[in-house]
Amino acid sequence: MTFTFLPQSGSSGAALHRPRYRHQLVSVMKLTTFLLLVAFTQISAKGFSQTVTLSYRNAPLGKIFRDIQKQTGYHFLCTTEQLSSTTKVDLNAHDMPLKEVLELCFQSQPVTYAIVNKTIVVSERKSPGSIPLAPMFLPIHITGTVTDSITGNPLAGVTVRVQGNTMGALTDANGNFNLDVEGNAVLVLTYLGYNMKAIEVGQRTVLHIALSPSTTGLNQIVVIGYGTAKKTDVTTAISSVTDATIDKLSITRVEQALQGTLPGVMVMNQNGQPGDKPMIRVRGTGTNNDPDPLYIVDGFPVSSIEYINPGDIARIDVLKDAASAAIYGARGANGVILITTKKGKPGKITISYDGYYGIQNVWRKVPELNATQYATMMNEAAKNASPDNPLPYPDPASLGKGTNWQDALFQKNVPIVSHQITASGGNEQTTYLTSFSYFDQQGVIGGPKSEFTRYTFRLNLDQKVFDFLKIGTNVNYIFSERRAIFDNGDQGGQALGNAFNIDPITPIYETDPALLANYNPNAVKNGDKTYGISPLATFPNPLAQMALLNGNNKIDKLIGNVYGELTLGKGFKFRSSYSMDLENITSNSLTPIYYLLPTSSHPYATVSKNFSRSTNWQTENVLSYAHDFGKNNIQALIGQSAIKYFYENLGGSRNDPAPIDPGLAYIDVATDIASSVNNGGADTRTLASYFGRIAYDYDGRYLASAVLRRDGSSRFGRNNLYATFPSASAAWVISKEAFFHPGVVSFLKIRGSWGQNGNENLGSSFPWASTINTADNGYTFLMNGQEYLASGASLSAISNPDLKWETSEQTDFGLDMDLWNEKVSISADYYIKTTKGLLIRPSIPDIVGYSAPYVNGGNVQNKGIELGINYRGNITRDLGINASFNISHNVNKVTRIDNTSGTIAGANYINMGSITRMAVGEPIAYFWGVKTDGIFQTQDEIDNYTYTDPNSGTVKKIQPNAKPGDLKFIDQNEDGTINDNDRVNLGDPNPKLTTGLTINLFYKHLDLTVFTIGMFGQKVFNGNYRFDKTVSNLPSTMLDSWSPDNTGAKYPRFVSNDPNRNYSTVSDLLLEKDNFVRVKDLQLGYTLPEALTTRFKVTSLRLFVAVDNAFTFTKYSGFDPEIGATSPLSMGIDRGVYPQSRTFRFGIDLKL
Amino acid sequence: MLSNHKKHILALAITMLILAGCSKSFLELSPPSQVEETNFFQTQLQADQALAGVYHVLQWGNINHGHSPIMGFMEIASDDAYAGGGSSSDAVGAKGLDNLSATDAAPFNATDITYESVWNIYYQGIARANTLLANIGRVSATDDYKNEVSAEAKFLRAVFYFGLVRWYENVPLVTAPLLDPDKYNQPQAPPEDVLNQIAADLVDAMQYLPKSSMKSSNGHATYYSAEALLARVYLYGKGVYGSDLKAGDLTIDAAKTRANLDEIINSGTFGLFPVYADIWRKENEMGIESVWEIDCSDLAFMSGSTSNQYQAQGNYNVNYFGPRGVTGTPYTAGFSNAIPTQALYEEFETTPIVDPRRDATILLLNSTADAPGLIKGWQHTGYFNNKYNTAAEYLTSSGLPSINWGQNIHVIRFSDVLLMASELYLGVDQSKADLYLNRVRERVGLPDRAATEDNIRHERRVELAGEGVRYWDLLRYGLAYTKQMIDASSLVGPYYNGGGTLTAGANTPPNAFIMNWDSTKHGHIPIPPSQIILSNGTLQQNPGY
Repeated sequence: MTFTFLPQSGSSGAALHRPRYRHQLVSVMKLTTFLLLVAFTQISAKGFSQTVTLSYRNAPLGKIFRDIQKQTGYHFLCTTEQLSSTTKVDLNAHDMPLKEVLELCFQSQPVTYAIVNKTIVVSERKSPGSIPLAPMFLPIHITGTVTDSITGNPLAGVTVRVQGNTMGALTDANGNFNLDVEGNAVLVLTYLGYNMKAIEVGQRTVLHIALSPSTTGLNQIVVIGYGTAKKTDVTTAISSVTDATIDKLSITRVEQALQGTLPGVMVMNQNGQPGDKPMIRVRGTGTNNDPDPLYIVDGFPVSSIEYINPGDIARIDVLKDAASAAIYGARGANGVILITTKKGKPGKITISYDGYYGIQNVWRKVPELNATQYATMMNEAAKNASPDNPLPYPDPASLGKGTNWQDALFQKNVPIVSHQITASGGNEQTTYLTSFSYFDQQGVIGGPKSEFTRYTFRLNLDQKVFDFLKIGTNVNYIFSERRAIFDNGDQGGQALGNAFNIDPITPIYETDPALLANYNPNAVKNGDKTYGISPLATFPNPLAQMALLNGNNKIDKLIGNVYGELTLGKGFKFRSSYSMDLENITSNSLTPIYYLLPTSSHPYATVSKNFSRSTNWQTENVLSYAHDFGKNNIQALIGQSAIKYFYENLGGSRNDPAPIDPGLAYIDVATDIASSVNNGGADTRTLASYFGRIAYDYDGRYLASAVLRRDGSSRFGRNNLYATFPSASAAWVISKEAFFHPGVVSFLKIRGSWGQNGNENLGSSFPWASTINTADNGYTFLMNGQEYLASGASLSAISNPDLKWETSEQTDFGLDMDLWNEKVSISADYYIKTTKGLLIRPSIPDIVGYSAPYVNGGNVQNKGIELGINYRGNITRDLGINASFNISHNVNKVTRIDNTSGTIAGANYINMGSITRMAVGEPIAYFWGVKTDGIFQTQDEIDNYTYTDPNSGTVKKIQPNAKPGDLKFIDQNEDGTINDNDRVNLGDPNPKLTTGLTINLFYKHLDLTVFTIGMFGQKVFNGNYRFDKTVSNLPSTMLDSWSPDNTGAKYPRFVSNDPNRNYSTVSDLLLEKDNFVRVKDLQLGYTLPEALTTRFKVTSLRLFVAVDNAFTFTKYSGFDPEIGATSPLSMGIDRGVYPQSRTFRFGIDLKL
Repeated sequence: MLSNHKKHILALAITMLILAGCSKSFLELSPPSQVEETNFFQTQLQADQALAGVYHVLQWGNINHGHSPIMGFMEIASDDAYAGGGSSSDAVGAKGLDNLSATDAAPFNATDITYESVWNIYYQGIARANTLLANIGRVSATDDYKNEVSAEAKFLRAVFYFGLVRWYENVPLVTAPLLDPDKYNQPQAPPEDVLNQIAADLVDAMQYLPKSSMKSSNGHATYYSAEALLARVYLYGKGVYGSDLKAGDLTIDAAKTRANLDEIINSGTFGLFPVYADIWRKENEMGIESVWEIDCSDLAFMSGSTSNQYQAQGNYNVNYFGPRGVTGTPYTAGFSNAIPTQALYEEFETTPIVDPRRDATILLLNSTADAPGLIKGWQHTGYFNNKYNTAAEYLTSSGLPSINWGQNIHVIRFSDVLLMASELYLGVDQSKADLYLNRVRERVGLPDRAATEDNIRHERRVELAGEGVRYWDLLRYGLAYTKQMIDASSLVGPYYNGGGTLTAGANTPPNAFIMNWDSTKHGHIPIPPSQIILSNGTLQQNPGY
């Protein structure tokens, strides 16, 4: 509906959103029908007319205004107070000009009207007796444009009001407004999410007004889950980032919007591979299960957010403490990330295009030995092992430089492209936003063989059916395709790991006919050229490996939700929504005939295809209530939701003894029918929840809120289906107290919260159950003398019907403060978060013979502080600066593990066994190894490093196999031998400090963004170099290994059989500090002067150049210091991680 | 027209209705495409599946990426084969089996996953057998059926425990499912107890297993399989621990074992193939010489990688033994592990004729002229296992060859039964001892010999070489003898890839052939350190580690 009710003079702009107006609005309407579903009656208004046909008896003005607006498209601007003073009207008009109808309506009313730019502004009729004696000012007609101070984009729907008067106007889609004012008037501009601005008109008739977004401001609205709240009224720890920031970063994935922008939220890329998912942790790692937060997009929980076009996002809110996340109870333990997509706004259609093209290059290569250096080192290793050993390379110099595999593997100037078109608009009944985006990124390794392509289509539509009923829908279809999936797995199979480790002597292409004659006929070729095969037969040629890649994953995703919202009066509202998430994944793969190595060959071609379909539906019903009793404000809601997930898949494969054309890799093309394999299965789970929240505040000064949620999940044992999660929070706005004298500090709030959340995010839908595994579990018996495959079965795991939720309990104390009139805002939090009843599969003895059951068996504590500071200000009229800085410190500690050893083994690395683990008193997934005490310089040092048996008095050497140049290991438990019992905490893969700094500078038409992140205090296990393989190539740093001539070396002597186990012992030698500072984004934009753009009917046009990952400052010697992990226990293990690329982009943001 | 009051009541009513609509059944789901344990073990078909699931463990050669072709490991541990592989650092765990300690040429790492894999495979097999035995009572079937299934499960449990106790000596004895967390941690049992449990299981199994050939029992274990295995267990126990076996009240001593072996020999069910090399031909699988044979096949057509081997039906030892890098026919590239030693080569008699078993056992490939693409691996001797090799007749047409070798594992052959009997008749009935020994020699055209301890040891070595038997024979002959023989296998032969003529490659220094067996380990591999940590001290490491 089209009424815009202005607040009373003097009240703040924010009051526009106070519910009290809402219920007054309702009270003037007659609710005649009660419909849940109504067809769209009017999506876009047809041609408006200047004449009106109406017939009323005894009708209130409000109703008449509504109908007039429907017919004419004119808006009314009035307050409910004004309306309440009017009398009812009889009216009979047929095709009557609007002006005449209005005259009839306002006849003998206490109010009058003025038409300003398609807006009918209602104002009190001034009785003749009250005409002031002050000199009359002549009315002047002014026009103006309102824009966003940062983006320069026009703002539609801004309320422009004349101070001390009820006259006003709304800006149109181009941000323009017209108004007749008296001279010397002061205009007050208010707009949701922006700072209120007052401006003296003076004698100007044309005004350009820029509103600054109130990201720091008190008026800012945050999404709190099942509703919104003013930032000032929030009692919990919520951090938000809005499109103003997101659009600037022009990121490729939604998660990147959170990297470095919010305190307490750590984002680490796992991989530079296109389409790879970054890791997100909210307030530390609370579980060894899936520590990913819960994602809610437009109210709908989704399993991942990678499908979303970043350009569609209006805002992201992160619920960090238990009390804020409690409304999502069962699944809030790891934090909740609420994503709201953009909506249309009433007014003229806006069409925008945003796009960029970029080129990517690897930001760093890791120097390695060339062929001559390599041969020299190999000779040294052999000689060190035994002087009798023959030299593997008698003449190293003859080998020259050899192949630089990294140069060969990393491609240059690999493209990245993004296009996005958005159209939005609507009228007072209907608003819509529709967008299309295309994104394509190739990998710096593999180029088009490692490519991610995404198309998204979106329609967001909201419709007011009646004054009391609003319905809407969001529909999002995404098609994405990914090729060539690599992981940060043990490097053996990965192209980058192989490029790192293969010897530099092997050529990319073998040209020696004598050698080629002996090549396997299935050796991989590129046209006429045959890829070289290392005679050391340990690492495959990485380029040959890339040449074999043919697979792709295609994902179709359709996400739709519809809602109906019923305004019931007296502050009650009922909202019902239904959502569906459908995902179809098709994976294609073709493994061609190949021979890479003696141990890696495939003598036939295999075509396989897997198809899966998953659906996730949710219904949700929420009844909410909001009412102000004077200074007592109450908001409450109760609700229910039910979620059901269903998944099924079908796959098959078939071989062919002959090569298959990659373009025709379909199962029917393969001819070996006997080799056909198929598989298929299904999975399901459900969640039923009931929740309630009540928030109370007195005068916006004392605030309190409580949440209770009860969840039932099919994922848990029959004995523990349901659990209840309570929370409570309170805040005190000190700055609203009478005793508080605003000075430097303009706003001050302290808050505290406590609550419990759950986690049910396990890999399995039936973690409590023991199912029978019949796949690939059979045996071949005979039948009539012929072998046949008998189906076999075994238990997949041990069951635990008592399995229940993992509970995270969190206490939070926070402080929000604005300084210098909102120029600077500060938010700080301290929290203690304890995860209890950790859902774990603790390692159990192998003698049990089955996988461990999931149990609730441990506690983890995270403690931390977070600080966010924002600054926003103008240095001169032309130069503005916005800066935001955040820093978080988190300490993680495992406080209990319920198994015999009190430990859980972590990630394995090649043949070293676990290199990380969980143990009571230590951080989750700490690096577990032996401490070293330098390098033995002389035999004496080795001989003197002894242990005396306290019983027998015998003295023995602790490291009998050591020679000078070997590592000295510390015998931690003082038992005379170096083994697992000497392993201690060598470092934490989780950063102690994470920081982010964003600086935006504006100078006239130029804008500059510098976005930097930093992480400090974490260690990384550099596993790029395969020290378990004696023939691996070495990083150049290994040239600094010990020899009698180089006794100050960093690394121990290089010896092929490694009798002292320098490199097969997990020790601090293999760990590096991973501190880094990275300038993620450096962007310079230029917005063309309006005078120029308007000539081409363009509202705004901005051009930009950007550099992603422009600079990285780190001492870490691997490819990239950003090393996330899918599993919390694999954190910080660099197994040949695909580095982030440095990208130069050029882009255009265009608005029509 | 509704008043506001009524509207609120209506909205509340709708809400309550929806809230109440979610019944408990909405949450009580069952896995849609899998059977829950509680619904299993009900039909005969399910019991058949559970039994096949226990047998399946016999085919595992690689779990958790710890390449564990157990017969290959048995060969490496003996004096008949070296670890081999690609380089000094390839398969370090297997290299440790050469000497059970580090050498100049290769490190030793007790935490290597190799040692845990062996443990893991056997205990998974035991758990499956225990689960089947604990639940067979729930199945709707005849008692005869249940008895036979139980008998097979016990036989298989005995197979797994015999593997465990020989490799590790000190192992926990678990004979019921360990489902209660308080019972996960079990102390090690004395090895004699484990051997007695094996004997008891075999004796129990013999009550219900059919007295038939492997072929007539459709590849299932038979009465004779159990009986022959019991003899092998007896000989091992007697040799290593000097004690007879106790199967409940029944004592399994030399006399009982002789009687058992005679029963097999006189059953008329078994015989010897006229041509020795034919034993390993595809058409002769489950043939007259098979007393206990593990069926392997390529029927599952597994693709993927070697780490999927445990899902397949293939014999991973074949890939393990296969020559490295070779292309085309008749061989497919393997991993060149468990390389036969010069000492084994020289063990074969050459007068008056060359023992035909030598060439049937050892394949000589020394250059790319012998086999195109051949790569000389670590400890290259020029020899490869010829009983289990990557020969064309077993090459899968449809799966990844390395994990789908369909060659059966001949665990106990009739000639082994004859030689065990011959050994047990020494000093009891020399003519029988001679008769049994010479039946084995005559088949390959060698002149008769008198049965003596040395002659039988020699005969067992050459007759059963490459089949995973020798190492356990060595251990029962004594630690000193074992050390003497293994150290004697340091013999560097004519084809070794070393000396001064190395080219870049997996060249092997001569010291890689130096065997210096560490007898302080008593011939056993380390209890996996990860398991000791998990047991919080309940498990004790083996001596010497």
